[in-house]
Amino acid sequence: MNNFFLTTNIFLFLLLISFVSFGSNVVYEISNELMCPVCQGQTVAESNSKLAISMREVIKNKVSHGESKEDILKYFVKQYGDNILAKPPLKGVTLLLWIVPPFILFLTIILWILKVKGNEHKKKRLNLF
Amino acid sequence: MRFTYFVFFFFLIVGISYNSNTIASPKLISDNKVIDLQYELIKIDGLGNDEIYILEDLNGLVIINFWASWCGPCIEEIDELNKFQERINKEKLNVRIIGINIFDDLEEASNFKIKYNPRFETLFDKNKTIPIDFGVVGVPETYFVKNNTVLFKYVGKITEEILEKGFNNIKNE
Repeated sequence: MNNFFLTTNIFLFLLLISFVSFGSNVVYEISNELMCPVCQGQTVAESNSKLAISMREVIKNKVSHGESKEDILKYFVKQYGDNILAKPPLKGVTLLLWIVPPFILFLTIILWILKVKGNEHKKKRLNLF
Repeated sequence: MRFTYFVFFFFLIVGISYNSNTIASPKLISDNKVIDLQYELIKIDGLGNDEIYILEDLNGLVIINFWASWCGPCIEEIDELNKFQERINKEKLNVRIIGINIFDDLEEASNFKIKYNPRFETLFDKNKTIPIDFGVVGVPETYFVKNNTVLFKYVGKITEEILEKGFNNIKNE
């Protein structure tokens, strides 16, 4: 009988620990996908600003109420816009940020090649005379 | 070479104009956020008799000012809010001002109440969740609410003139 109680207690204890650690992992995971609006390049998980602390508190509450990660992220996007996400969706200005640098690099390479070829032509012409 | 200069100046001008749009001068910003949650706050009376206050509806016209004791502009705007509160009392305007202390602790908030004497309702955010539901980024920020919906917000030190403008805007919406 004693063994039965002991086993049950251990089982319940382990179950409780797994629930707590699962909850805190989820909170960390979500807060790591959100940028702290008042910090320089820090996620909510990394920042110790008062706003980030409040945001973590809200995430914790929402996780404990059984809300899914997607719903929580959607809630924060509704409050603070797409910029709150560590990986914002590729649209609008964000899309430009991804497209413009490779485009400029490509354009520079093309211009450089044209310039080099132009110089070679000039040299050849000069050699002809 | 001319083309390179053109590309450089094009991006310079685009960059400058984008920045000047984002760093706009303070103004009332339109919003449309429904606030439908219950908040457990603490009513600060400055005498140590602080009691639980449930903010469950924001019906009618409400001006919510978020402040903190460590914030300089929050101290500077108290006079402006007090002046507007006096006008509300005198002219029996159909609006209430609620000051919510956030990112702070209760003792500091109580000391602030004693020292600067805000004449409107002052509450303390016990659970640290209310600023996120409003989308607050810093203090001071003021929200103009009509029937549980935030219609306008103002970021920074508020003046009596802006309070009047915000009040008229929500009254006429």
